[in-house]
Amino acid sequence: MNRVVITDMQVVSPIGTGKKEFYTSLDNGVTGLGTLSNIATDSFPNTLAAEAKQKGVVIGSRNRDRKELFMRMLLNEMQTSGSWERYLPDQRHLWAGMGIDYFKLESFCESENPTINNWHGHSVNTQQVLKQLSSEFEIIGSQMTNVSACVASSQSIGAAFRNLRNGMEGVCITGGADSMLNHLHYMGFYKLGALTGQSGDPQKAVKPFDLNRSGLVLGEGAALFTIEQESVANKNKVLAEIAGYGCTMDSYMITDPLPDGSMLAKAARHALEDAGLNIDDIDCVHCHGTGTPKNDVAEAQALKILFGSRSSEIPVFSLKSQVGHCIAACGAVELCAALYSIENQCVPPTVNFETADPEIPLNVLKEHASMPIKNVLKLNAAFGGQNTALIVRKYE
Amino acid sequence: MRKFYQSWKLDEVIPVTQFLKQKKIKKYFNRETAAAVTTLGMLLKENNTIPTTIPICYATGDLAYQDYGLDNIINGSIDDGGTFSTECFIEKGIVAISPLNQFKILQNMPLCFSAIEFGLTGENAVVYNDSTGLRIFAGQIDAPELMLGAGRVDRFGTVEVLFALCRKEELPSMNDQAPDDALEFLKNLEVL
Repeated sequence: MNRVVITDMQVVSPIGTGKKEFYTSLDNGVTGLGTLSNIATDSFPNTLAAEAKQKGVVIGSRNRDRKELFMRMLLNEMQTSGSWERYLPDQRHLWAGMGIDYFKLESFCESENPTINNWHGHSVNTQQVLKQLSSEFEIIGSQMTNVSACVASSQSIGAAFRNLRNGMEGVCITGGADSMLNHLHYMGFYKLGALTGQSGDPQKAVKPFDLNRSGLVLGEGAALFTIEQESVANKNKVLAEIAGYGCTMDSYMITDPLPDGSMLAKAARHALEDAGLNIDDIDCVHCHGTGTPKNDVAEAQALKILFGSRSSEIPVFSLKSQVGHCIAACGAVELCAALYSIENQCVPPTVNFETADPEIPLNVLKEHASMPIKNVLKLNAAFGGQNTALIVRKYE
Repeated sequence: MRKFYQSWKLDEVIPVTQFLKQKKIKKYFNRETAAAVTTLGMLLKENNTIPTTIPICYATGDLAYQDYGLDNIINGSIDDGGTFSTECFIEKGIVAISPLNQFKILQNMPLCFSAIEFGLTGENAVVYNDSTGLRIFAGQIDAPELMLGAGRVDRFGTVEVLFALCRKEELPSMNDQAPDDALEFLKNLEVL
């Protein structure tokens, strides 16, 4: 079995673009939640959103597929930094978790014949986007677009880890991108009742694990990682090792997570087996932590199964109060925070966590906690019941 | 048989209800989801010893905006001057469709509804219709057998779905030539 390491990380998120800005925002507990500014929102019943920012300013673009924009930004950075230059183009693979196809609603409405049979030309096929980017950036080994909703990017990273570990040659550029901050998808999710209706300070709208949590805010962003076999990687560039991956399905309900958390716990157990670790080797957990009433309880149940009496002691963290729910990109963006924990040997506080919920007896931090961190467990779960667990390890 | 291929034209009824524990759940389905549940149901009925933990990967087709009710949204979102209006979109466009229609454009639904109906809990992935995604999934699996599926709806509303129960050695490696299209890839795949 080959060891697999992460040698580059690039991120676009509501709390900043690039590792330095993202890490500084984690240092300072910055939250990127606000109100929608990139689309006209006259008459919108809800405008809460976490838009991607660079140097504190919302990345502007109207009537454009922002997923494609974010991916292009990241690939430009990676190309400039020589992230994959040691590999031939056909040894470079681009595997990403991507969100729902962007639809050019405005242009379709104003087209000559906006009838149902003519919509295809106005829908931006995400797979074609990835293939186009692969061609432009000379990453021609293979392309894969995972569309497993909120676990799409963590499944992509898991696939890259497993295939490289099992002997696939080359380098994987993997992670994901998403933005549902457009008319059709934002309002579609609003109508489902998935978004918090909380009024008041937008920055306090998402409260993972808190007694007064009320739902999620849509975020957007992207993160990509360069993943290689350790034996051929430049050791000076290694950020962390990917040690294990697990994946399950709840097989319960399409709208709700399995209340007892058993299948999420099983995904974590598979990741532990993959890594050759036992549960006591895990130092902290970076949770899915949506801030919805049901998810957070189910996740707490999963941690109780995994850690037993230690579940109320091990530090846990959710990034979603700072970046919202980045849907297909959430696993990748949140993995950046797991790397922050390893690099800085600390667990950040979960912003907006104030009042503990008796149903969630977890150690949710209100302040940064410095501690030795060797192994981080990263959990994610998707609408529909798919679960993933990744274990990232300090490189030694 | 370890491989099931099914196709239904736009005016044909997909007999999905025979595989549903709760018939009312059908209202969440687009045509691809209904076809996926039905086709997988047929395969599992004939191969009833398949463990519920079998790894499964599904390659989905283009997004089903036609099933989403896009025409109703468009009709309501254009103002008297013939241009898109956010106000019209909110007041007459998006309200013209059921909130449940959101499930019809979530691309992991064919797999997730299949998992719920048949109790599947194993490793899984949903990829956009490309055989590379199926082969990448196979490359990450340690189990000797896995389930691969692919589906799509064409512009005329014909839906096609195929599920195949494969042994890892039956799959071409990443370096071998194979059709890019996931459905064609599975049609060509020989499974014992």
